[in-house]
Amino acid sequence: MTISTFFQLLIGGISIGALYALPALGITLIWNAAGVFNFANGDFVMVSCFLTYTLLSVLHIPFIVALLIIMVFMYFFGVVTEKIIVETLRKDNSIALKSLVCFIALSLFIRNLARFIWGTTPRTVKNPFGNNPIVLFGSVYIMPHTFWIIGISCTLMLILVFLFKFTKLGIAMRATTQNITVASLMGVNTKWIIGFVFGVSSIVAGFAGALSSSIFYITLDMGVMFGTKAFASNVIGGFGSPVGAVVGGLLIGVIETFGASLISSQYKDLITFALLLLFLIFKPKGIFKLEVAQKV
Amino acid sequence: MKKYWYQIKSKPIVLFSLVFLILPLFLNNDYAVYVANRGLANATAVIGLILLYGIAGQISLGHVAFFAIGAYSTAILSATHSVPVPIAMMCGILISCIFGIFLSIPSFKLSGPFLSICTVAFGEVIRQLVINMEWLTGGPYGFYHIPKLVVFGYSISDVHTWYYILLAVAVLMAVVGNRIKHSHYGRALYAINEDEIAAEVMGINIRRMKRFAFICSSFFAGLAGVLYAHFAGYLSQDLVLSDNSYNLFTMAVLGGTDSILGGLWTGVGLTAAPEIMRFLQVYYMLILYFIVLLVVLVPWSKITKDVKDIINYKFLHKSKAVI
Repeated sequence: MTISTFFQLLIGGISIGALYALPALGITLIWNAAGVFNFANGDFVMVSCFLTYTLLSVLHIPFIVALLIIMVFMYFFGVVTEKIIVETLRKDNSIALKSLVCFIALSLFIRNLARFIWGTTPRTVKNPFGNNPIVLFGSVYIMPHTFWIIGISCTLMLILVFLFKFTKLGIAMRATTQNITVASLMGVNTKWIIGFVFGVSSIVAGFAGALSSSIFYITLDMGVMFGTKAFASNVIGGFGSPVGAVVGGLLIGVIETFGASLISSQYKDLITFALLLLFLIFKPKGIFKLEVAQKV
Repeated sequence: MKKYWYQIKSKPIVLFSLVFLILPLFLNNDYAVYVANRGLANATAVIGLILLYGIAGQISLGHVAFFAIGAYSTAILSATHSVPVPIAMMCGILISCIFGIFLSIPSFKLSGPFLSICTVAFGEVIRQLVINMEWLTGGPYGFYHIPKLVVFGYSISDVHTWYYILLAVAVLMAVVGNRIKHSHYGRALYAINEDEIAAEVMGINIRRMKRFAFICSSFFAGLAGVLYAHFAGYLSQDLVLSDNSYNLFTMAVLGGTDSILGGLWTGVGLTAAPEIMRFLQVYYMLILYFIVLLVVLVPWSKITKDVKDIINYKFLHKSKAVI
């Protein structure tokens, strides 16, 4: 492998990893705020992908406007999901197991709703970032969308960090994460905050969908792939840690890209899932150690 | 007569067997019987999933992997290596159980969403292996020419004969499953479902019990897969699709999560439903998962209790239950 191929693969892997890191971040946000695992997050990505297809290829709306529409749509999608499922289940006792079954059912429902709306044929979107590769250092050819994906993902993550660390809203969100009862006693509207977190996480998933629509085939099954890989990045990074989610996502993207080019692209998913299984069996706490496994 | 009626009422499994014993009389073509066969095989697999999910509380979303492991092992052993079919079937079940032991290892440490994703990954790994190991499984082309089951020199290939074999197996396994559910193993699994720490304090060996649950469920799924391989005669990679796992899971949930009889009914019903409800086309899945959402989200036990209270109080003028 020459050094230029190495750099090409590395940057391609990082861009794909950024796409996995975004839904992983969404899963982490929801897990921290509401204590439920959003199994349907991958399907949120899928819905956003199909929406991008409709907006760009059918209605011919410019990409920036489409992105704004998707943001608004996904926010309300997430809030409605939270109101329907998490609000209802909070009155019950066993929220963890029951919400998981609910989200599994929701993910299947969304998938079939998408099948009903958009049909089963795989769709493609004309690449909104152009198709002329950029040449770096003379011999490294890189598609422009990789830069856009990395750039937009980084900006989104920085915005989230800013939101969490330096705004009143972010402090309220962190307070809700730490202790929901005390936060509500301190005057935080925890119900609204959890809804808002769901909305933000869906927006993040929507961004992942809108960006990935330019490089992947848009199919109904991509939700499962995205969901499982986002979860894999969560596990590898350490569940519940936002930094871990990003690092895990990037790691999976890079490993997958290198594995696909070095071994075989047929075994691309196999490598990821084997990695996930190995991590779950031998190192369930992930790289950034957080308690996942229960001890007695 | 009254005594027999009481027997039937107290043992719903008898009703199930009676209904399905006379069902072939009303099925006028072979395809309908074939669908019923598939339904019974699915029902057998669902019993295992109910033991694992409904009773022990361990979600498995890659359950069809066990089914496929059983089916492909017996197919490969009997067709490629010409092992006698009954021995190949037993080996298939055994291999499926061994994978069950393998999958039970992460369940010692993980719970809830972590375990469920682990099983999803397991199912995907098996699916990718089935597709990519073309020299062994036939890959996307499918596996053909699986030898028929021969019992006492009589080759079983008729769908009706298979129907009764599968019915017998399903009913027998339901009885076994019910026995497990009400034995001390079942009680221990219920305890693990409620609270692992409390169960361990009560002296239940959690690892052993979880391994037991996984072996049980992989045994049932493997058994169903082995039977499927020999009555269908061919295997394709459609069998391993994750949709099938979700289907099995849906059957377990709609059957009442911990009711084995419910699992039998939904197992057959949900396999036959897409065939019967052809006219619904794409709406079918939509409606099905909407129903699943309703079943899980709405607190039915509370509603039925309220309704009973209202009926008793308003219409029958009985004393109101203590609130």
